[in-house]
Amino acid sequence: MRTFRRMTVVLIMALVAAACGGGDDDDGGSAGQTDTSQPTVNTNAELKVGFVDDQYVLEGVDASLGAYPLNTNVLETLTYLNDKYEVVPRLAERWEFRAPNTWRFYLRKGVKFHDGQPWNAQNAKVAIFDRVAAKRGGGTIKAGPDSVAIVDEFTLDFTPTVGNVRVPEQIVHPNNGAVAPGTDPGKKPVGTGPFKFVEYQAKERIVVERNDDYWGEKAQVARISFRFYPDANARLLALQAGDIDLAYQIPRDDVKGLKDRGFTVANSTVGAYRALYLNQFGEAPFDILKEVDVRKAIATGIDRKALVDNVLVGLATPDQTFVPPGVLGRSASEVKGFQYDLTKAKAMLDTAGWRAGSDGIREKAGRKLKLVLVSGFPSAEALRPTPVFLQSEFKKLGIDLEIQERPDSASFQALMGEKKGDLFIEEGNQNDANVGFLPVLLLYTGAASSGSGVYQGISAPGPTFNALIEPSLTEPDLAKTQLAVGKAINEAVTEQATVLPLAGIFRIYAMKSTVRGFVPHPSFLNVSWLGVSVASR
Amino acid sequence: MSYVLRRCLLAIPTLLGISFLAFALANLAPGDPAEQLLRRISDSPPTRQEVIDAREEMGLNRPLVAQYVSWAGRAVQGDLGISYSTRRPVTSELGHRIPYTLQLTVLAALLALAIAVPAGIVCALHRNKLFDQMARLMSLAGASMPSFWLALSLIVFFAVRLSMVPVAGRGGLDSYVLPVVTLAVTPAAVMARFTRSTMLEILDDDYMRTARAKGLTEWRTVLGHGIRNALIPLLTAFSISLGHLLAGAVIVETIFVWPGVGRLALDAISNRDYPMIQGFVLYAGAAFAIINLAVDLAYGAIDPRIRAAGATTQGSRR
Repeated sequence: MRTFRRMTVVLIMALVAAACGGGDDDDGGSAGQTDTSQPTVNTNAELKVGFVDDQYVLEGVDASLGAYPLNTNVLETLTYLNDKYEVVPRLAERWEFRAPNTWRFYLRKGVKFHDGQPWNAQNAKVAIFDRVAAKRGGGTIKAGPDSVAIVDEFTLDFTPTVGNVRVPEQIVHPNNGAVAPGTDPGKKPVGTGPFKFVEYQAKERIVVERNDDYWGEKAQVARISFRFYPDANARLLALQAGDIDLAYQIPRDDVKGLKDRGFTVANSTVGAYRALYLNQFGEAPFDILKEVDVRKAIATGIDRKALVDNVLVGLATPDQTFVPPGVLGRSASEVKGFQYDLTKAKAMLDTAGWRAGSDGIREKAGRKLKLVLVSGFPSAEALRPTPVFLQSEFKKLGIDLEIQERPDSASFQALMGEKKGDLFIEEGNQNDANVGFLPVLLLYTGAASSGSGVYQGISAPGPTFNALIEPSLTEPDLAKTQLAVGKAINEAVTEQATVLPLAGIFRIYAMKSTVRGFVPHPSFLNVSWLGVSVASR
Repeated sequence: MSYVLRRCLLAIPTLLGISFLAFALANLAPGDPAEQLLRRISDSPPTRQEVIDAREEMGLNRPLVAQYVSWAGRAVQGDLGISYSTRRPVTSELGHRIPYTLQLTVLAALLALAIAVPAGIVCALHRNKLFDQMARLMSLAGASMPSFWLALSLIVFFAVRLSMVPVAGRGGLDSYVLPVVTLAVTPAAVMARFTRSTMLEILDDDYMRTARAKGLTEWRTVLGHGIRNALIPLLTAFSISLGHLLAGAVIVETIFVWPGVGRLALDAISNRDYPMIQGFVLYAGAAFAIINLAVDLAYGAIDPRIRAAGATTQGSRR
């Protein structure tokens, strides 16, 4: 909205100059909505929620209507990822690992699908595991056609097609939700969740209603209407106009204005990260960061606290891990990172032979210390103005940083694949509790590697990292896994400096003061609507 | 009739040419459609092998020309392929979205005409008077302001402050107001200026002077003789605006959450959904071709001299 206001002023001035006319000024806001009367929960209320774009898949085995990426709580998973990144029971009451590669799930009793079918081991096999097995690669859980053995009516054994010790942490993903046998999840999702599907209009809205036969605590609102607003300004204005009660993904610059107008702004704990991937395998002119001393100098010379306080308006933390600390547990402290010290960073560059030139930009053997920063994932717009902040930080170090914004994530990743850039900035997400997921996928190059190789192609830390993280691939114990991953991330971030996490990012939601009980989840995919209510006055 | 048929047949190679250009350009854009698809549908980024398999499955490993020829072969039979991202037939996706774009386009075009033509005429009749000055200022503003800014300004004023209409989304009649007005402003501004300048040229023509000399009032002169003669250049300007509107107003459809072809095209480009991009380009090309044909036919209806000239040309050819 700030950009919009600046644009307004500039446009009006331009029009006045061009045609000697005038224009109305506009502050882009509305009156406040504070109300101090005592509210009561209205269980017949309809909650209207503004989400981002509609990205549902409606056809084939990957159909995800109502589940992913916007989770309407129609489908439920065996386990649930709570807002502290803990895996808790949902359709499974408990589970256990049975060596060498089997997970036994004890299913919840007294559960029914919305169409009346019972929830039991046979239906769970069809509703979850057979469906996931049909997906490419058997999904993250690596399900196969013969992966499930039914032990009794409410117990089943799941044996992945390859060794997988992270099943309970992976299966929280809404793509693994239980779909009633014989129904089409792309047209009318039928699950066991606290809400039942009502209607869907592509690119417009999806509506759900309370499931009065839900096995657990009943939902507090009668209906939820989710509307899609791809444009952040429109989403914000819809909230201010009262068209919606709650909005996802509020731009940081607008948080203060919303609070001033009486809206409630809630942020989650860290659920995403902003990081730089450094190209250590590029060819000239993208070969400067082969020098580990330069990489470490950069890591030392970035003031992350200033980034968090000024650019991210305090709605982030200066974490130096790209796996949220909540997922790493106590092992988050294994990641040492770098203390900001501009003088030390400059000295490190001096020692590396990069001396300040007459224009303030460092040089070595006649070559300027010029780097290219590529921005574009998830979008260049979403990352602004962090690249400009980095440009100013690099300038203090005597580094000329050129920013290249890519129009979309596809072209960003293509450029990364071609290694045409020195640094690649992105904001990634953690949507399950699998602690080793991101570091293995992005940086691991050992024998069990299966990633696309794009990130590894520029930032793979090498054999020490591989050796440190490999135990996490076979260790079912969570604490031991967290320790292995923590040490490995430290190798990537601190020892090799091939990945420089800049900040841990909070998810930001805004809502009317009448909305109660909303828990801001660090993963958008796992928001629970069960306890959310609307107060009437 | 043969003229219409000939024009329709001529449109086919034009559309194929446009589609080939779009196909080549889409393929030149960095980014792998297979990887984009897998990222969108999966709960984790794809592995190397998954991308290779998907490319094979989507036919992306074949030479570019072979891919195009195979697509074009099906396209002439009405099969535009399956969308990579929605997994539905492209024709069905377009068929579903075009009516939404048409709803906005027709209303916006009518609104633009209703504002532009009278305003342009009044401006011409009162040249350099206050109304003319004000209208020129407004049309300058209307033609130069970005649609996203106008859309948000209208939302702030009419939806947020006055609560007269919803911010976005399709619903009752009131939900059409802001997107239609936003879409109509630029063509209205352009056509108003066009009408004014055309009318200024016509007002001093001999036949207008003759009409006045016969004792007709200024308004009757303008309405009876002036407008008819101004119609052809106006129709040309209108057809260009209409073509742009039909091709989808990406920004307006995005801000106002309108599920038209503009948003479809935007999503297709982001997802590197080649079949959908191709389908959209064909649709946009066809829209322009149909409008041009309709305008050409309308010329003859408006001005009998054009009909006569056409007949003479055809006669001499025969």
